[in-house]
Amino acid sequence: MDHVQINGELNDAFFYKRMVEEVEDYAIVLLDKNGLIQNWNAGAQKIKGYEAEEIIGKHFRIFYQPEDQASHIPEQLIQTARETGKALHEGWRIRKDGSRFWGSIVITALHNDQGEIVGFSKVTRDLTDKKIAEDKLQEYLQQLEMRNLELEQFAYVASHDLQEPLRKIRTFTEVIENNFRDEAFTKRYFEKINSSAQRMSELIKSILNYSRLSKNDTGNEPTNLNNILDEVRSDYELMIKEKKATIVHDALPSINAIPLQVHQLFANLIGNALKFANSDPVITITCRLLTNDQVKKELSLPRHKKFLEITFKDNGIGFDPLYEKKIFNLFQRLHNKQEYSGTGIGLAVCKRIMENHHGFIHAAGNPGKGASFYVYFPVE
Amino acid sequence: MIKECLLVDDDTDDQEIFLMAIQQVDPNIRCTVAPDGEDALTKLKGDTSYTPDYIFLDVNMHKISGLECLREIKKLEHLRDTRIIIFSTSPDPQIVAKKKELGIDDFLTKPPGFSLLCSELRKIMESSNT
Repeated sequence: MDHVQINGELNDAFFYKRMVEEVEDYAIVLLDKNGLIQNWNAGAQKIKGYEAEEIIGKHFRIFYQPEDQASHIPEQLIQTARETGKALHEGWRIRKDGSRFWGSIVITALHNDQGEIVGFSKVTRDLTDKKIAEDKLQEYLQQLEMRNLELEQFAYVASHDLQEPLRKIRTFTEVIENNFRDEAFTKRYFEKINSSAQRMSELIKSILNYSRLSKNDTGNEPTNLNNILDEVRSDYELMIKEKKATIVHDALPSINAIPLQVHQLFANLIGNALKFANSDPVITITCRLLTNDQVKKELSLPRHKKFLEITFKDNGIGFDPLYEKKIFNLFQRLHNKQEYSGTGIGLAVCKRIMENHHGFIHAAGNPGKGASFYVYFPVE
Repeated sequence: MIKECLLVDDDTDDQEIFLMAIQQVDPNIRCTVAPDGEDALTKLKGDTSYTPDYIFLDVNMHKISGLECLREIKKLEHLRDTRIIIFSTSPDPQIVAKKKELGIDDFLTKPPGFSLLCSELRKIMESSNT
């Protein structure tokens, strides 16, 4: 704070008045006993937007938001200042033009020589920039905490699943030691060790792939979902032919998205539908626009008014409804490795991709009756 | 006395290792393998004279899960005295918490080594003898 130095004239009423009037960074206002505004300085005009003549004589409550007025915050502050000598407060205030600023105020009781309260001084600082920076910081902090938690879980699950091939390798080497004279036996177990190591390296690769999925891949751009679907379909051309699969789909719209990630999303979902099929898979892809009210599953994203729902429905082996949440966990496998290959990362990747798009995914299924995956993209 | 044991596990490697281990622990145990829960239930429901002393049940299996299989097993009157041991890669805390409710007698976490598996199996066999 600047020190105002006026040589030996501090007691002079004129200079004193000027000093207050010309301060620009603080609104310094004199209130009478009832909270009516008595004078106005340059800072008050700058911060609140009123000219002196239009505000003097009004109650200072008009600077407060309607909800704060309704809960009598201004009157309470005056009461506190009356009882304790001063009152401090921070909160959103309203300028003349209706815009908001974050005000930090101190109201101080003024006394006459007899010690009676004759009025109040009210000093206000505009801390909007600081408030916004603080809020932003808080938001980053929360995000950081969430990411940290995710990372912790990720490390836990990753280490756990990497243990499995390791466990096997250690067991197999011990078994070979116990039977090292049996050539056929040792040969077979060396092969097993090799395939466990191979699985381990697959796991590590897909873990890397998962952890690299970031929000800022290439940024959002208009993405034609029909084109993406065509691309994915041609990726799987051979498998579709082999399995005699049919893909039936609605005309899909264009949305603002990260094309590479949407490609991966479609590829994982369609790939699963093809993989977890008994015979002649039929994959039905439908889409519709839903309002926020119709999407009740997730409450965490209320700011989007509409969602595009895309459903991938198959007639495959399905899964136990018990697993409809778990299925998206990292390394969650519901099926036999020998029968259905995979690392258990595909759906975790889908979940991550939907989070990157501020949307979400959920699943429904029944054993033997197929599975449905619903993805929700927020749309403007 | 010959004891009967049923292993329900869809991992062929783990089946093989388990059979080797149990043979080493007690050569008098006769072990049957069911490659999935459905197969196990067919075996158990189809022949009520088949009453294994132990059922080792993997949890994370395809077709029907170990838990589902367990619930079905618990409905079978003739298996009242069978000891159920959950045999999985890692103990699921949710299942461990419901041990009594689900009727589980023991947990065996697949250990990282053959001799470890043998000693764990020995412990389970011994605890059921006392």
